[in-house]
Amino acid sequence: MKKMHKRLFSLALAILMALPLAGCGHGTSSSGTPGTDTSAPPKDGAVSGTLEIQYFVGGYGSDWWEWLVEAFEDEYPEVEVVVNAGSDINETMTTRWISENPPDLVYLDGPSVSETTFVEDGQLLDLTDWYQNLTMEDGSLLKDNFLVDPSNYGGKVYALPIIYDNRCVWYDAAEFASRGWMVPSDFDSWISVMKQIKSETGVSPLGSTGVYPSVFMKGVMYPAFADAGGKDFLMSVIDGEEGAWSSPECLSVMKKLQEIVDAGLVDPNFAGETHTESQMSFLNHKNYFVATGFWLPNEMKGSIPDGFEFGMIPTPMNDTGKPACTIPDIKSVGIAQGAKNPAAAKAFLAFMFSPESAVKMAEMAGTSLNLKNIDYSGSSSVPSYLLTATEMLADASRCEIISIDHAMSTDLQNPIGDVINLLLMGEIDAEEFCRQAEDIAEFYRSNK
Amino acid sequence: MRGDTLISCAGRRAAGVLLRGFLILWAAAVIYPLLWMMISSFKDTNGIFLSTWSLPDTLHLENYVMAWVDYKVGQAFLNTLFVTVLATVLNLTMAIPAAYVIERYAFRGNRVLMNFYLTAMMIPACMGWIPLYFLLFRLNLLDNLAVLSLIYAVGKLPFSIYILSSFIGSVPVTLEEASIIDGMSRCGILFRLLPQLIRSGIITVVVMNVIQFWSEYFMALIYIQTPEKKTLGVMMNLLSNNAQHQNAWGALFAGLVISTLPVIIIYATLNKHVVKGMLEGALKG
Amino acid sequence: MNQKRNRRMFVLFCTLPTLLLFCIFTIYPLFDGLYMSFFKWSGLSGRRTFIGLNNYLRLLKDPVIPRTIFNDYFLVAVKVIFIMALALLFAVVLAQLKPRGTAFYRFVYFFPNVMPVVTTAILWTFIFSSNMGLLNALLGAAGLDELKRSWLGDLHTALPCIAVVLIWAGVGLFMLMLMGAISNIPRELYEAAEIDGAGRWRQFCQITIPLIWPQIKTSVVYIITTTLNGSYVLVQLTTLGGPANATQVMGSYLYQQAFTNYNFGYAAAIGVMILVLNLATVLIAQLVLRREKVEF
Repeated sequence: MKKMHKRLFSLALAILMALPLAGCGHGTSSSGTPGTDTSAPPKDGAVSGTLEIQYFVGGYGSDWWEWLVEAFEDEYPEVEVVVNAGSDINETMTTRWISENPPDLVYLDGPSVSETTFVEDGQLLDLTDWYQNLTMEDGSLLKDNFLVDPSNYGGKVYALPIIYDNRCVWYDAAEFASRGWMVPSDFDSWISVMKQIKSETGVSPLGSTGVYPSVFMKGVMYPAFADAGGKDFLMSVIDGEEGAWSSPECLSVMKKLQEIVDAGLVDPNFAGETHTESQMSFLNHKNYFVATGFWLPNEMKGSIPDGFEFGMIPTPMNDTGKPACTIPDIKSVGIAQGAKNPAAAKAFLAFMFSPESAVKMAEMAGTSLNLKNIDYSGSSSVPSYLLTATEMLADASRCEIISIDHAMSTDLQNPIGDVINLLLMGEIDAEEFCRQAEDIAEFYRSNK
Repeated sequence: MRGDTLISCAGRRAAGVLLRGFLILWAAAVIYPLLWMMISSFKDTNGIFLSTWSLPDTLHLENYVMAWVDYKVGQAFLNTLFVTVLATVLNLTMAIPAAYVIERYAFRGNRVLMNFYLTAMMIPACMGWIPLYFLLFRLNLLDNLAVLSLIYAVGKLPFSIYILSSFIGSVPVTLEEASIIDGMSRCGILFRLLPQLIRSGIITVVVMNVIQFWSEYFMALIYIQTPEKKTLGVMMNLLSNNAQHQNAWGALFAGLVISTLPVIIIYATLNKHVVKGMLEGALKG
Repeated sequence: MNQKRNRRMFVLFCTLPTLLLFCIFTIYPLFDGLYMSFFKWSGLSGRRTFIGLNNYLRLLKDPVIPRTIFNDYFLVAVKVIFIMALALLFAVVLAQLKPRGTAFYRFVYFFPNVMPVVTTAILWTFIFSSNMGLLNALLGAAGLDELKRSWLGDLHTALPCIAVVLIWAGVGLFMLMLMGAISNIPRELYEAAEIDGAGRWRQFCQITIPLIWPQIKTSVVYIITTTLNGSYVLVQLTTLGGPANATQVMGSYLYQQAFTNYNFGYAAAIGVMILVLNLATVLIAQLVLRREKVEF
């Protein structure tokens, strides 16, 4: 995401996903009523001064951040928080990072900011030892409460995952019910219902954005790679390892996609559309499936036609009888190596992770905090589509959650995106795709 | 013979109709998108997307309020005005004397200097952005609208010098010689006589530069950091992002109108001079 | 003596401060950028590593580069041909035939030149858009549904569409320039030709063209330079170089490498390539156009 150009910028997400674990003892968490600050980390008397933060504002707004800053200042009256925020804040602040005069804390999302590059450049503070010992208000270790662990760079941790998103395939549940179309659960049922839709409506039902092909890659191909070869294979593809893109597993995935393309099921307009345009087409039944994150309803609110009902399924690229894989999409927060007030930055970072904060995030941003066992029952304003999502992701017979260790480098992602577009346009076949992708990966490795 | 003339007459008339049709078609291709932009700025999102062709059902003036208030286009407007005016003045202050001397004074390096500026017009601007940032950072000149103006002004020097020197070249030397005889100093000629002689040229340069300064985006983005100092180009990009994320298409079109209108007005007012400047041969061989 | 010194001081006063500022803010950053092309640098921090000519070797092996060069020269060729043809046509018609509404056409045709490029880009994105695009709506109204498509999303139409926008936005300026040149041609030349029995076409070829050749030459050079240096702005604002690099030009690829792939050193090497190609092309164009001028 961070790699996309500003026009698109943040496919910023939105989800809620209270992964109910076995046993499911929700009662232990604070229910996060306003004013409850028992969930905040212990007060640190040494924390004072100015704290400068940088956060990108994307599809889910800045309400949650504003709430957070205010709550933090209430909790730590000695600290004055200076906010650098906006949809172009990463470009504006780049110069500050280059000149080694960075803000204290940075939210790693949006364009012109890359967690991997920041780590490689030594811009982020090593948090490995510090975060191990962080505790929640109930005494449990924070790291045990993460839904997804922090990215790992050779055993080191430089940023903590704050937002948990998940890519899946969306459809209009009301339309499907009224037309009697079957909601697919695997690849065979998916392609057959798409053929049915095409013959009944004349519309090619699979939408996508050709301007940002990585959306399709993350939403359809990542789950398919995980289906085909598990997490290790997915990571080898993401890393562009020798032979990964030309492997039989990759070919099998691309053959499935080619089958969809050959049957004329891909929206012919996809190549020129940005992600919002493809989502707009989806809402207006100019296509019937889009693979995106849970940000979709939040981002498109205001343009949703009457009677439209969001439905979602884990990307059905799986073979019949197997659960579909789904890949979490994470946004993290880090502290600058050159932070002037690291103590306050650490206090702020710890303060972000609380059950109350998670509920606020669900309410204000329509997204979920990277914490397990959050009880949303005390809130009436959590969007209903999130409950569906929660249910779906909790059902192990339907989907298997596979989290990736780190994102694909843009040096690989962008050229691969080009050949994905060629395949979806029907210009090249699966074999040719694998050949070209392997060449791209080789060029990528040679420049690493 | 008479038949020939008749045929050629009819042919000529047909060609005339064809030409006129083409002239009108091209004018429509220019005007229609602008008209459509203005109409769309009064529509809500559904109006823009679903009834592309029609007039707005009600005037959604909140688009303009949103653009002006929520996206602080008002403040950005004033900032941009400041930068544009200052940059234009600075540019002329530097370009007129340089162009005058290069065109009128035979000194060593005269041709070299001119060719130097001409060649510099071919430098891709994007190469210099980041190095320039470091330079400004070391000189403590970042986040400063006046400095941004200076950089705009300097960046457009080759273009201005090129245009102005060709104008100066087309002014008869006799006028200056007469002034010298009348006892006017070199500086007097430069600052008092010359601007009158090349008025169309100056206006041409001003209009061309104002267009560039008014809509510049990238340098304003990286050299200005305080939100209150942001310029229209940056604000428009912000609006453009938000149109995607928040479906604020109406506000985007309102912003487009707000940011386009001033240059349109300037051009319309100075149209005669611009055309005159061009007709006098702004870009000579 | 005093007069001579006075003169020298005046020349220095007029040129030196300007030259100094120009060198500081334009030439120095250029060389710094050149220096940068020998480093591996993300552009996101102060850390850079010297890697010698590696960025240039990468340039030679990068399969996208030939594509961008082709696209750039495609745009140059199309723009030179169509802008010059249209500008000449309009200029001759408006300056010599003077139909009714000449002032109006002159006013309107220059209009796209004064519009901010952001406005141009957003407007044309809407015109070419597949679902709500004006062009598709027009084709639908004319009953040509089979021609409807996602104009900027089609491998074969995307680049020509970019060219159309660039031509639309460029014609006015050159029309005015050529009008200026044409109206400076003495009327007697045409009258003499008329007496010799030369038709409109021959007058055009034998009088108009040779006499406005300097302006044509300047226009062509100007189009080449602005295309190679500037067309990426429109590409960046409309297609981001897609689909599948169909509209990728050198400048947009530089932008992508620098600001979305964080390869600043590599981007600087691309910048050097653009500079070299630009200078070479302008030089060749001037040679070619000069020779043709001699033939007249």
